[in-house]
Amino acid sequence: MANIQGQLSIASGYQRLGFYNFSTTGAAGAYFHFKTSAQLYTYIMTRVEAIGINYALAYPIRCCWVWYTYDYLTNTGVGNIYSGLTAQNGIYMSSDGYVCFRGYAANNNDVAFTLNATHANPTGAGYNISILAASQNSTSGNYY
Amino acid sequence: MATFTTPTNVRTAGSGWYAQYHLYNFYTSSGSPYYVHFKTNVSTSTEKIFMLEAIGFNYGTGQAIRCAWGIYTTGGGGATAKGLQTFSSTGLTADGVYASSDGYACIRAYNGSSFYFAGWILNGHVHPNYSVTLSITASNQNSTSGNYY
Repeated sequence: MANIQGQLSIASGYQRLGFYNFSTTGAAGAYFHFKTSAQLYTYIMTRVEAIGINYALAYPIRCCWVWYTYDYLTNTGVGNIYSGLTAQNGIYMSSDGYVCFRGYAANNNDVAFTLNATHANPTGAGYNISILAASQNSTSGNYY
Repeated sequence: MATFTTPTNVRTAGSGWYAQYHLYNFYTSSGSPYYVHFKTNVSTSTEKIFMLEAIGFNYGTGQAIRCAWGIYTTGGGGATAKGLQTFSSTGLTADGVYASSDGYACIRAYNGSSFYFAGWILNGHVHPNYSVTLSITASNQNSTSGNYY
């Protein structure tokens, strides 16, 4: 068996696994905001997925957000597979011009997940996305 | 392009090994019995929080497989389910979590129709504050709807 372990993030031309990790140990708020490196006028079609576990809510986590950074933010959507974190269609632009997305969990003590990104569409394929900031708080609208 | 010949066990970035891919591969050739049990290396005498997810294909039912077990080992000898979820129209159901008689967390999968040539991998996702390097130490397809190990 090939066994790869260590401080490793996997990046192919189209997918980045585990490019960001997020965890909580306390109930600091029901909303999880992430500020990405994506900006407008870059014409990149993005899919970001969260996978993990919500101990307090007692559910696994698998949900995703999609968007397109045209001249404006468009074609946003979400997908929710398991119930530990809800991807809300609260994809928005930060006040300084970066794409942000928001998740929700009513109970949020001991939540942990990784983020995977897929850029398989012809427009923006292979984009090297990153998370500039993350926050767990009580803001149901735009935070950044 | 880097190509890894399988099986490849991959643990992604961050302290605590949040994501641990390709922990285990399981496949069946017989359509029954309808339960499959997996025994993990996670002792119930330690407090851990993690999720196991099965991804694959059930040929017998003609369905894709995606389901997950949320698991908490109490540190006091118990293992409890923190959510069992099965994606709709899936060829495998996350059926249960229990502690083995010798003190390890186990999971149970079920499909009441057929396991005829079903195959799946198990991925793990761990809370870093309760970190553990996951592995599957035993697996068995049988008719036990309760605890097997």
